[in-house]
Amino acid sequence: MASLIPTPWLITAGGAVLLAATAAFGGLQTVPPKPVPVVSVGEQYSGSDLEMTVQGVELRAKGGNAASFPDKAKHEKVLAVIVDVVNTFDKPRLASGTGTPSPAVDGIHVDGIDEKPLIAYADGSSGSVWLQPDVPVRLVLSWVVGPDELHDGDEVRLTLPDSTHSVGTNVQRGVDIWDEVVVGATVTTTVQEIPASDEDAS
Amino acid sequence: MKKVLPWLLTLVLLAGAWVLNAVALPDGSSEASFLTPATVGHAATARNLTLTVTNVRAARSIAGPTGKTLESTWVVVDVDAEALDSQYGATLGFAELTVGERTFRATERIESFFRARLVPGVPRSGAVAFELPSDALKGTGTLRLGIPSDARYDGLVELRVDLGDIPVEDAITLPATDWTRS
Repeated sequence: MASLIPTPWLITAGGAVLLAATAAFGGLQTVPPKPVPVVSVGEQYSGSDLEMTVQGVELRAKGGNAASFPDKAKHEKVLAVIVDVVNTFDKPRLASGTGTPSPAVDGIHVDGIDEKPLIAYADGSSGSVWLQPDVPVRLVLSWVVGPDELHDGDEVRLTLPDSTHSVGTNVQRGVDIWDEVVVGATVTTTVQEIPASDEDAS
Repeated sequence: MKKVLPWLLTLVLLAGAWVLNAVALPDGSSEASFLTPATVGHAATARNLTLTVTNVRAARSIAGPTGKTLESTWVVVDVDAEALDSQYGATLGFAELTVGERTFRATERIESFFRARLVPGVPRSGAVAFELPSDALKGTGTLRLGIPSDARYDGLVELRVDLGDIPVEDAITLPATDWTRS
């Protein structure tokens, strides 16, 4: 009875089906990476359990409400990215993260600048920036740049972080961790220069 | 008898395993905080801290001692607090309000009693403020206050607050942190 079942043929047929199915999905061809979504200024992006809306990119002669202080003698300027942030996680989180790239708000990166930005409340509030759950807040990210690095109307490309949330174990038990940081979206916009005289007025 | 014994033993072991599983504390309980329940107006003690929550208020706008004003949805908690044994490392370093699934941390956007230094024997008073989304002022909130910034293994005072019952004022000026006068 057993010899009536054509086992080798069944295995061969099974293998053929498997190969055909693999070939139908592209076989061993390299898969092109998923294109990174592009968002525009004023458009909301969600990633890293944060909702981030870039509102504008400014080049300031003085720091204004940013946390960066340019050296006047060196004619340095401040590149400021204004961003509205909502923490959609159910616990408070610091706006600045650990590691590079950071999964938090300071993971917002400007092409051509390696350092992480400094973060301040746009309304001038003091203290370290904690993001309370579902409470929207406007932040100013800032970098000190050289006098000729950027000009009014220059195009800049920003990348916004995305990451995967997990809860730590062992010595990190119960600690919320956001890692596997990737670029979640890009924003391309132009720099708007704010002359020093306007900053004094406002 | 020989046939029944293994079955009996199986039942006993299964029952034992079930009991053990039922009485075992959840994972991570060994590092849980020691909570002292408290009510508004009554003093409570947690390790190196004695505090009394004297009032819980809500407002759409708060102002700091320096006059700085912040518009949002705020819960303001008035507190008298003192250290018990030592002033070293004694600050009101932990203040969290849990409403439903969400946990809020006392704001640092404005000068308040949060993270203020505490002294043994001489109570200080002030207020801590929590910034909430506008829809969060309902249901029961759990307020936890204490000294450690990391509350594992440490003592905290816990209060239940009915957020729906608090009248929402237009504006509250936070009291300057000061020595308690009573």
